[in-house]
Amino acid sequence: MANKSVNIEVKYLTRVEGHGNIIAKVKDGKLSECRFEVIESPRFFESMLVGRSIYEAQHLTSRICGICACGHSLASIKAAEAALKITPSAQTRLLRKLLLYSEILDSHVLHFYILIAPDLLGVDSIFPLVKTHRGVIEMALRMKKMSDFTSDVLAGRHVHPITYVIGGLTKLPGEKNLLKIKKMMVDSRLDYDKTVDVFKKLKFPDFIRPAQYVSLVSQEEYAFLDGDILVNPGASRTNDQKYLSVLKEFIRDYSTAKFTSINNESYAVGALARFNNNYEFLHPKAKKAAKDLGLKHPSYNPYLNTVAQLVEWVHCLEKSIEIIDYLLDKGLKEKDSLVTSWPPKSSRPIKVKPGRGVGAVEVPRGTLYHDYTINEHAVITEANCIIPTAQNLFNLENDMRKLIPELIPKKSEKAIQLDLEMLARAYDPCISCSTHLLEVEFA
Amino acid sequence: MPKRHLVAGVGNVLYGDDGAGIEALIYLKARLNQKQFEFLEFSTQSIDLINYIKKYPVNFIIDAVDFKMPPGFVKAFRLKDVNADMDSGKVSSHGIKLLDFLKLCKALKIKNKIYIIGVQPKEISFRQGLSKEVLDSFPKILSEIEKLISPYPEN
Repeated sequence: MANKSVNIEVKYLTRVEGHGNIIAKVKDGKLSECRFEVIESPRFFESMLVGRSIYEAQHLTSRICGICACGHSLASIKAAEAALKITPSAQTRLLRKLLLYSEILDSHVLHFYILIAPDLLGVDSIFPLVKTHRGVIEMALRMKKMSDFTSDVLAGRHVHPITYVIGGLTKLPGEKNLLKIKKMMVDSRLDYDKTVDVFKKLKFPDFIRPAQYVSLVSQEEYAFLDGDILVNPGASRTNDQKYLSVLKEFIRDYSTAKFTSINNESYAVGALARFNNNYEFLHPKAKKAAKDLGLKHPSYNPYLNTVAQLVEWVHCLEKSIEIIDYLLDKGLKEKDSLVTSWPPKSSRPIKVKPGRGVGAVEVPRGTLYHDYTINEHAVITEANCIIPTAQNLFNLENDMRKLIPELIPKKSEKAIQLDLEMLARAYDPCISCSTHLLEVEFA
Repeated sequence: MPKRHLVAGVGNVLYGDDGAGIEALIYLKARLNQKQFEFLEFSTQSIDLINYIKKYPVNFIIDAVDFKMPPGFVKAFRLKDVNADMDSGKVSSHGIKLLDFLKLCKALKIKNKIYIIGVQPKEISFRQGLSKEVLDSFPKILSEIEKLISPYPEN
């Protein structure tokens, strides 16, 4: 075993968004190469923002990603409001949280059922599961339908929100629709009970590597929309406007995505990092789900990011119901959120104080940052977007470096490859949502 | 009265001709009977279509398709017309391939009719706006839909 050699080259890792390769080489028992290559062409969204009005940035940036469109839109709005010194109302913040939760619900259910479940059940895609677990797949699609409808109502369509803008919303959801969303969510409680039953029977790989866990945190809740940046261990907290004092970007010649580090080390963002950093604020039903699923706090097994997503699914559903109940009880107030023209006609031609603002939000895969600098006409002169997947790449490679030597004495090359693929998929990487050209061959 | 047909646009408008399906929606909305047709954008998330197509007896999905033909070439097809073994096992929910979405519909025994109206792109790169060839193909997309919808009564 000490002389074992392994040569793993996974070109185009499947069941992740975008194109990434896993390269791992072991010679005479020693790991000689280990990397996760991002081979997508860079998309230069930041350069597209330069020269555009800050009032249209959220519509452009929501196109960065089809699954995290709401998160990009909200990060963009938050950055713009920070630059323009605008404070949204409490009602607007609640409606934003509701939208963000709907996106978390949507993305997580797709990840744990469609991308991860095939690995745990020993098949290569969702298609065999339609035959063997048809009821479960139909349940997953029903869970998705609920989050699609929520986004439809709140954002004006299920993808690429149009109603959420700087300062508020262009249209408020009606009471009738909020009641319908609530009913679908209450019905979904049965689905998460069944989902917990399904996943607690599945075995995840046993692997431990404590990392730095980074997420937003707040004094009052499990933070998704607002909060300081927490780096654990160390418990250092930083205001989100100063994110560049914490994380550093760097380049690796084999990757078209930038890597990031904190304290010159890799770090993890995403559901497991949030779970580790925000556990005390989890909804009691989500804590129960974690207990039922065997997810202990803190957890240092990156494969359990999927389980943390399921726990967050429960949390976001329950918090959404709470928000809807609150809004229905208080009644939605147009004056607090409705934006009919933006920027207001009274402030045209646009003349603002030049400035800079950062918007940080938790999206399904981790903390997302948008950072804009504007001139006196509210035109963007500099922009920076740091997505969660780029932040996880360094940590994924370090996980692989610890995992491979542990697996070499125990597993075949093929089995090691599968474990590495599962590890990468556990991070739910979203390498690119920018293009999807369909290629066909006619029969 | 519920609308009977769905026209769904798939693509990314920030990626040149990849946005053909989205941009075509605007053209089609102005020319098809809005009492009969629903027009929805689906971005790059084909999987999101799954819960919508069940609501409509006939669905048209407009997308950029590499037919290896000249730019602007338009062709309508269904899953049964193509080699269904392509990309087997590579289903991804994020940016799920349209072909895999069709196969998922088949596996789930969804009976609603689904037509893909494919447009051959000229250039897929990071920019806004479509090529002239793809823009000029919109009347052909319209005529394909009108031809395919003609057997179905209006009520």
